[in-house]
Amino acid sequence: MSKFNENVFKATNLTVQKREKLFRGHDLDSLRENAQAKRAMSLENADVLWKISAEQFQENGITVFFADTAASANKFISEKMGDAKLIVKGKSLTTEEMELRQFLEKEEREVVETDLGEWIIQQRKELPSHFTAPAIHLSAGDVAQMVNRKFGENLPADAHALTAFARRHLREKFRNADAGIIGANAICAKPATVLSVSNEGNVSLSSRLPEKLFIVTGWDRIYDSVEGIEGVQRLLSASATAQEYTSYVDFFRKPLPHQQVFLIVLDNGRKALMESVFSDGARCIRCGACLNICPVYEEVGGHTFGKVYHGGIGALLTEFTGNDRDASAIASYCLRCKTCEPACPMGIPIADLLARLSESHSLPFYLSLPLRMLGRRVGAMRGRQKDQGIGDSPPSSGTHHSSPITHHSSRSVAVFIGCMFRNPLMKRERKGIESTVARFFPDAQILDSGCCGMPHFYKGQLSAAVERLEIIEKMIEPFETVLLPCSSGFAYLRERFGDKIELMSMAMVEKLEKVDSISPVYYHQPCHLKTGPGTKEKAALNQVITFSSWENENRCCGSGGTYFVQHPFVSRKILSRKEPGMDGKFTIVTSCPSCLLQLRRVFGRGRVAHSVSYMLQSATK
Amino acid sequence: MATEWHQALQSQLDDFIEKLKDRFQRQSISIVESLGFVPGAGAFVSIGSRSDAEELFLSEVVIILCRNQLETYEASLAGEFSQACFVSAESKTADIEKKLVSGVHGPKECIFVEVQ
Ligand code: SF4
Ligand code: SF4
Repeated sequence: MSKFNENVFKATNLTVQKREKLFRGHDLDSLRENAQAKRAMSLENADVLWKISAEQFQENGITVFFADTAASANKFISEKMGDAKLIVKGKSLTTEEMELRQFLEKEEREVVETDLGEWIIQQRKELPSHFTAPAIHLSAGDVAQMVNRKFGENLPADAHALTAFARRHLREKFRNADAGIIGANAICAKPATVLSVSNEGNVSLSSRLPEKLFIVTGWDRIYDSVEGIEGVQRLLSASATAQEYTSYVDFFRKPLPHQQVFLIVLDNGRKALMESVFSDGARCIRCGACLNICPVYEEVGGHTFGKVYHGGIGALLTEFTGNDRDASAIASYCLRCKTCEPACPMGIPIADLLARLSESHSLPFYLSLPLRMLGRRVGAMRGRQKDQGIGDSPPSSGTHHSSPITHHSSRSVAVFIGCMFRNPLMKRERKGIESTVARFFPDAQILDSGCCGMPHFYKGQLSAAVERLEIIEKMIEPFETVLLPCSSGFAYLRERFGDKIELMSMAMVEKLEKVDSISPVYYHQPCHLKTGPGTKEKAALNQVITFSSWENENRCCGSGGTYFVQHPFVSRKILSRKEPGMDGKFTIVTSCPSCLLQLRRVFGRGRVAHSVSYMLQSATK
Repeated sequence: MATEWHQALQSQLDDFIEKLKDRFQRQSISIVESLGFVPGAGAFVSIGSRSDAEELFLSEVVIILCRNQLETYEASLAGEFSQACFVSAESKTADIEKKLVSGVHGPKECIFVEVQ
């Protein structure tokens, strides 16, 4: 069962706030676009770029070793370490993936993590719980307890005192180390240069004081030029720690006079990822911005995922660098809410990639059964479509049709109701939609054809999703505008069919007058409206509804369709974040039927309304 | 007017020297020459030996002299060096409860001096 962690919640929220502040002050959009393009281009030419840089590094006196697997990388490092006994090490997810420290410790070497967070979790024998903040799950009290117990100190739970202790303890290790190990954030091919960023300065010390230096990096870290690197480095700092530049950016081209330097380039599944249909995921720079904003991660932290890579992107990375069973377990935690996508500096479509990835993972029966039932309905529709022949039965206006029908005027409007409004718990909302159509869109055609296929898509049932889309494409083809009352269906179909797909609540607004409510009305933003044209829903509804401000309006409610069945405790915990300060009489308005049912679990039926029904009711009053 | 200017400048310099004096008495301090300064990215310092690294990273206060303004990050890297570092601030961490603490491993304070 997942363990909830308030430290993670506080720390991730703080980072998100800082990051938003930084991004408000800078135009990082063009930087993002540039950096993404440069990164994609470098990855496409990785073979050539590695060849060029390896030759130059070798000429400069740096030994380059390309390792296919973690085991071969560890073996090489161990051989070249020789009789090195004390090793200082910088933070590196790649070395965590290789379990390098554990490997060297088995050889009776003392390997000391020097990043403060890494050092803390090393003492506690834990895995990092975040890509860039490994001890994010711990309070100062937890750290003080560890230091006092392990080192016989009597320190208070104070970050300054604890850091000062670590400084004293680690200073001697730096001075006396025989070898250093660091990770590299980027390798520039021309001129061959290693780049490593840090705030603490531990990378600078681990790499310059010892006689042997091992730089470990992934095959995906190559860039063609310095220009490519700068943008990515700035985005990495901005996304990871809300700084435009870290305190230190270290560069390595040649060994210092007292040094031997080895550059280890690890494949371990990276090339396969880059060549697969998931290649977008190879752009990941491990900044952790997607974790900080992920409603699941912020509740459960990294250890729940059980591996080095966490969250949605973690499932994908684990699939390629680890195994598919672990990846499937990590993927199961993802709500497919897409909250992470706008935060990702590399523009990785995390939820969509996971949908595709889930195709190869088996679903528990309690999830596959309802999807199969919806799938059967798709088959039945396909059959009906064939029997009737598309276009054989022109509809009459304002009536229900559960089969795809054509022969409409080119300016016609359809309302695609969606499967959620077939749920018996949504009877009232469904009635509201039908009445709205009759009153405000009397010429519209109701397409009551069940599911849009989004649940299948996000659960990896891709062939059922494609089949569904094919049917819908034909079904909506004759219409100029298709209105959806369901925000998830709207976001999903809009991405695929473009502008003709509209959100019904937004289309209603122009037909209504503003109505003031006696009690407060709050807006709940469904996660699928956090990107694209749906982001404007609140502003549109504001023309009709006077919303009171609610600091949790953008927070995920933890519904995620069937998520509350799959991970009920996590879902409930996420939902609990919506509760604070919500007393008395109020109404929450949302366009997502799934969010609506979830919110009703804590606020009750009378306090949560669908946007369409709410506006209709207000207009009727 | 000119006298006011001069007085203000003189008092700033005096403050600075007093600060340094204080630190010399109680802390290790090093002065490092950089190749130049890139706004935002910081001072670009070439590291050619272990002792260069010790000077830059092991003192409690480091003063970095910046004689040139380098045009861009990219231009700084166009030059020849074995190893180098952009330094934009002191050594710091927020690893414990996101509280910012300076001087984790390296300098607790980093002073950039523009030399004209
Ligand atoms: S889609 Fe949602 S749950 Fe999944 S990783 Fe992204 S933010 Fe987290
Ligand atoms: S997926 Fe994007 S946001 Fe997440 S760690 Fe990778 S680059 Fe950063």
